Amino acid sequence: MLLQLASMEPTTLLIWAFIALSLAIKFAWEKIELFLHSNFKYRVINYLASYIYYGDDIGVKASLQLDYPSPHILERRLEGQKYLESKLGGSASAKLTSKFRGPKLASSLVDCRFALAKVCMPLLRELEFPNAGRNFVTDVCNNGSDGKGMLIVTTEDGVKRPFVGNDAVHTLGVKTFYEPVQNEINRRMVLNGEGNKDSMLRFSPISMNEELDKNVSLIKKLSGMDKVRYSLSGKCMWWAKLLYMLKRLQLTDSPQLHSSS
Amino acid sequence: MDAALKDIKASCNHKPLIVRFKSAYHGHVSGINVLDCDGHVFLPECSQKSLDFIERYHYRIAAVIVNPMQHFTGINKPSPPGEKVTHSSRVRSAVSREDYARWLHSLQRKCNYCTKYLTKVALVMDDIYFGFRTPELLSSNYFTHPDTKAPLNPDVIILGKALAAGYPLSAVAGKEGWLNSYDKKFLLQVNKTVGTMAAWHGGIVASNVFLEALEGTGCVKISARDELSLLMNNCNAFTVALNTKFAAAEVPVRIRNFSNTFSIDYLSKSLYNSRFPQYLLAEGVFLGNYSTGKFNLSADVSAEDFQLLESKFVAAASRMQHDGYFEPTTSSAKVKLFTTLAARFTKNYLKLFCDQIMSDKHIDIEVSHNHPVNKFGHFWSSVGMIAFAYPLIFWHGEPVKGCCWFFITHVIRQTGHFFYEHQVSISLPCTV
Repeated sequence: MLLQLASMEPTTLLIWAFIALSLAIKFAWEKIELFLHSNFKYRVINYLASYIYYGDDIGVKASLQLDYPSPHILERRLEGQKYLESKLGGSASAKLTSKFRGPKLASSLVDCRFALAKVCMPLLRELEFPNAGRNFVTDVCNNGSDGKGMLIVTTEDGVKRPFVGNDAVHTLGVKTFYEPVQNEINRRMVLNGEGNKDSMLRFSPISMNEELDKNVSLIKKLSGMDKVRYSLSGKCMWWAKLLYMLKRLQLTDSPQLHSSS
Repeated sequence: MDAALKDIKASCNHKPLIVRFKSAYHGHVSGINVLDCDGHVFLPECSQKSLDFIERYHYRIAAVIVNPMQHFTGINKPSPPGEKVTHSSRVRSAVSREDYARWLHSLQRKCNYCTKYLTKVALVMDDIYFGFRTPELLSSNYFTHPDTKAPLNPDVIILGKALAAGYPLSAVAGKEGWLNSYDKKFLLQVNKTVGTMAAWHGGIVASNVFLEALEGTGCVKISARDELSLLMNNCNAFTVALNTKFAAAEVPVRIRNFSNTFSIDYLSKSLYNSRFPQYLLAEGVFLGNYSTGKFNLSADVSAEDFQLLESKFVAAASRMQHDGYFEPTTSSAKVKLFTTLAARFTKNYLKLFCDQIMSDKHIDIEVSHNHPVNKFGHFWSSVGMIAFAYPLIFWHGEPVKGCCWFFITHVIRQTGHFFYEHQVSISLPCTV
C-alpha cells in the first residue's frame, strides 16, 4: 500500500490526500457541531446544581441580601418576610404538622421530576414555608350557586381558596360540558347486567372493536392523518430493529420498512 | 412521544438523530427529558440556521419535533411546566401567531423537501398540551399560513391530555409511511393495539364521546367549539384587564395567555421574582404545585371570579413591591453574587472531594488496615524501608540494591492485603 502510494504521480497523490483530508475535516466538524447542539449544557447545569445545593444553609437574612440591597430595602424585605410568615408560616409548628395528613402523605410520595428544582430557585430555598394544612385538598366545588363559577378548593385546614392551578386537561365547564359527557361515558361503561353490549368490551382488551373503529375514524378525520397508534407508554421496538437488521443482511424482505409517503 | 419517535425512526432506516427546539418541553420520561435524550439535537426556533442544519444533516435526522406552546411561552425559553426557577427578569421573546405560523410552514417545507429529494425527515407536532384549547382544536389548523391560509400539514401529530375528556388516552396519528413499521404479514392479526393500557376501552369510549361532542355529532349535543371560543375571549379580556391594573399600580408584573393557559412575566431584573407565588398564596389563592410561572383557568370562571382574581393578583404584586422584592439587582451586585456563587461552588466541590477521600480512607482503614495481619506487614515494611532502602540509595549510593529493598518491603506490605482481603471475599456467605 505504502509502495503504491510512493509510486503515485504527485498530482494523484495530492488529489487522494485532499479527498482524505476533506472527509476527515467533514467528519470531525460534524461531530463537533452535533456535540455543540447536544444536551451537554443541561448536563453541566445539572452537575453544577448539586454543588450549589450542597453545604450548610446560609440563613434567612443572608438569603434576603444576596443581591446586596441597601439597608432600607433590606428592612422592607424583613418586614415582608414577617408578613409572609404570618400568612404562610403558621403551620410550621410540630403540633400542627403532625395533625395534618398532608405532610405524612408527602413523605411517602416522590416527585418524579427534578429533585433539586424547588418552587423558589435553589439559593432561595430557605425562604419557603412549610405548607402543612394547605397541601391536602378535601373538597372541590364550583363557586357559583348554579354549579358554575371558578373552582374553590377546601384544604385540610378548613380554608376555602380559589383554585388557580395547572389542570392541563379540563378546559371546558363542569356543568356545561364534562357532566353530560361523563353521563354518556357512564351510560356506555356501566356494568349492570342489562345492555352491557358496549361496556363488556373492556374485558377483551387490545382487541379491535366497534368503539376503536369509531375512535380511529374520529382521530383520522380530526387530524387528517392516515394511521393511528395508541400508546400510554413507549414500547421497545426490538422486533422492528431485528427486521431491519435481517433486511440489511438480505435474509428477508420487509416492505413496511422501506415504504415511502 | 417516545412511541412516535421509535416508529418514525423505524420508518426511515433508523436514522439516529431527532431535532428538537431549545427548551421545548416534550415530557420527562427517559429518552425524552433533556438530561436523558441521546441523539437529540437542540436548535434555536425561528432561525434560518436551524433550517440549514436540517438540510445539511438530513441523512442523520429522522424527525423534527415541535411543541407549538413555545409560541406562547416564548421561543427558546422554558416552556410549561419547566418554569420553576426565575432569577432575573422574565420577559419572553414574543412571537406573533403569524410569525410563528410562517416559521412552522417554512419548517414543513424543509422537511417535505428533504423527504422528497433527499432522505425522509418527519415533521412532528407535539399537540399533547396544545390540542383542544382553541376552536381550531389542533396546531395544524391554528397556524394556517398568513398569506395562503393553508393549514399546516405535519407528518405526525401526537395527542394526549384532553383527548379523552380527562380519561387516560394518548395517540399518535401519522401519514402513510411514518407509522407503518409493524409486520404486515403477521399471521395472527387479531388486534393492532399493544400495551397494557394503550387503547384502554374506557379511554376509547370517553374519547369517542368527547370527539363527537366537539364535532357536534353523537348523543351529547354541546357546542364545544363555541364554548372554546368564549373561553378564549374571556381569558384574553382577563389578561388585558389585569395587565391594565398592573400598569396602573406600577408593579413590574404582567401576564400573558394562550387560550386558558396563562404565564407570568416579570419586568424587573430582581433575584426575588419567584416569591410572587408566595404572595399569591398569602392572598388566599390556591396554587397548583408548580405554579410559579403558569396557570390554567377553565370555562367556568365567571366575570366576578375574574374580578376577584384581578384584585388578588394586584394586591399580591403591590405588597411584594412594597416589601422590596421587585428591586432590580444592580450590575455590581450581580458580579458580587456570581463571584460568591463561584467561591461557594469551589468550596463545595473541594469539600465534597475531600469528604470522598476521607470516606475512602476511613473505609480503607476500617476494612483492611486495622487488621493485625496488615498492621504487622505495614510495620515491618516501614522498618525495612527506613533501615535499608533509603540509606542504600541516599547514603551508600547504591540505587539498585535500594530498589531491591523497596521491592521486598512492598511485597511484605501488600501481602497482608492480598491474603486478608482474599479471605474476606471468600468468607462472605452468599445472601442472595
